[in-house]
Amino acid sequence: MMHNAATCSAELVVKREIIPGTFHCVLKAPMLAARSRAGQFIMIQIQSGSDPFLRRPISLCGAGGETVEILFQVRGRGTEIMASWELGHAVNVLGPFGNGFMIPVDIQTAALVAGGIGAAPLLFLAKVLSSEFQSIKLEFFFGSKTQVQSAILNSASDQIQINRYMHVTEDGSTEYKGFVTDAFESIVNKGEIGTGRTRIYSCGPSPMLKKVARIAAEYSIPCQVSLEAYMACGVGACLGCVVEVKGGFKRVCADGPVFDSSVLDWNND
Amino acid sequence: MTDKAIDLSVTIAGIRMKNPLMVASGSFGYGDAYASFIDNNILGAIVTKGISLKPSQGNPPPRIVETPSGMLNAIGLQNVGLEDFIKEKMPYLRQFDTPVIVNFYGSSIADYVKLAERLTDVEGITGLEANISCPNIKQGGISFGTDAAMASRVTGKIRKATRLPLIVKLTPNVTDIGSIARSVQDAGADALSLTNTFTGMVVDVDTCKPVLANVTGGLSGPAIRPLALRMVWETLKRVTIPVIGLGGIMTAQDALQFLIVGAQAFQIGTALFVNPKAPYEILTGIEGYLQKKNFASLSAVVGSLKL
Repeated sequence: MMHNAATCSAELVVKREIIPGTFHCVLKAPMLAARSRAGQFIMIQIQSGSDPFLRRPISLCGAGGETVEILFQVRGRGTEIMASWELGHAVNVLGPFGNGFMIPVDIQTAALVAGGIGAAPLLFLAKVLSSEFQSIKLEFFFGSKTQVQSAILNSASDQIQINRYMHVTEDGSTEYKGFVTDAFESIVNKGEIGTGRTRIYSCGPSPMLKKVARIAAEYSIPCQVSLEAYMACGVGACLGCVVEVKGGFKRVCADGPVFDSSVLDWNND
Repeated sequence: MTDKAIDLSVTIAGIRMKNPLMVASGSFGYGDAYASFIDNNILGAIVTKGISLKPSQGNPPPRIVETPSGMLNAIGLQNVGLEDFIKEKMPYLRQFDTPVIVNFYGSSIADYVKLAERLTDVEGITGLEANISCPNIKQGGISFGTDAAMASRVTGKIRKATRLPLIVKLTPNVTDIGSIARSVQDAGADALSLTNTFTGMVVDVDTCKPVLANVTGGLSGPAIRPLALRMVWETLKRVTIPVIGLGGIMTAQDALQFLIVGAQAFQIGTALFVNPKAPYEILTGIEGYLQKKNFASLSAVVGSLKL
């Protein structure tokens, strides 16, 4: 699998803390923007020197014109340093990497199921589907702990047209309480999704993806999931980021990060 | 890099290289992973992913974890196996004007011998690098490379099985690297490469579990560089065959340290993960160093250590 990734210096042009600890950033990188597709990711160097040592793989949540967009949550020292970057900072980036989402030309309905910050690659996909597939029915199911995470979706709301939006919260601070997968399953069960040429696209914590994959299999709806993994190289060389598939391992960076949910081995995780 | 006045070429164990920069086994796949970043023709040599007789799936994930100035890996030597390597991977590697050195490993002496015999007759393979850091299944799983007698025996058998230049890659997880190196030289190795990774461990304090599924892994990156450099220096005091230095080389300055203590070439591995352009930067940096010192060739640097 060949990629067309390159090194670049990207200028931080927008940085917004949309929720405490969650940032939406826009990076100016014309070459990278022109090459990037929904579902792909970039490898960001935190700072020069050797600590933190490895680059951080970050999903793109948008690309267009001269810029790419990312969303990230502060989880450790690397993302803490990223959160301290000031506008104008030159970010050392490699990318784009990975396969991206497959969109069939005759798609009629896209059901996007996102959990928390996992919404990032699906926002990119929603932008593409909204602008390039005029007659598509776009359904967005978003799960998070509380209502405040709606800011994640709002960061892209001017660029996407959604036919149905359901924000399910664990604490019930939105209209729908519980897990997004349960809400999604009840809609599928009612036959509101799955007729016609439907695709499910999902990204989020692995227990959530496991449930989405189970629903997709049960109702025979083709489903693609975007996976997250610790990575060293991003190019498919080190074999550090593998995931279990039926009959072996696949590299999340080079064979994914988007996989058909039916090829993954969901029994061990 | 194209400055004709400076000669970076080096010949090790009969392998002629444009420069002393080799890409290490396990960091460069089968030569194609960095195609969009690196022209393979600029490299001194390519050392392939370690090949075994049969395909190997490797260890379950998690396989890697970041550490201070480095990383720990337990990939488990995942590879496509000998026959698929020859059929599927060698055609790509043959395209370049760069020596191809095939790294290989086994779990018994018979495995090493079979691999060496088969690889010897494959077109486009310039040399072999035997990874003897693996456990010898028949000797209770002790690594071949941690015992001088075992290291000698496996090297001797491989030597008889191939006429290709033979590099033996040494593990640093030993008390006396010099005596292992000496016994491998005496058994017929043409060159040594060292060091492989240092065994390490990381624990998640929330779960009280090791982070790697394999429990332990091999430490690489700048964290191990001074340790590796010391071992190369000690080894050079005990052997006369060429030594290829590796361990945490990120920059030209790092590579020069290995050359100055006496390594005739060096390998970079983990550096590529962080900086795919490292080969270009390191070669340019070494040229700049030679110019600054007014040296016409690399040989003036090798072994220039002043004590």
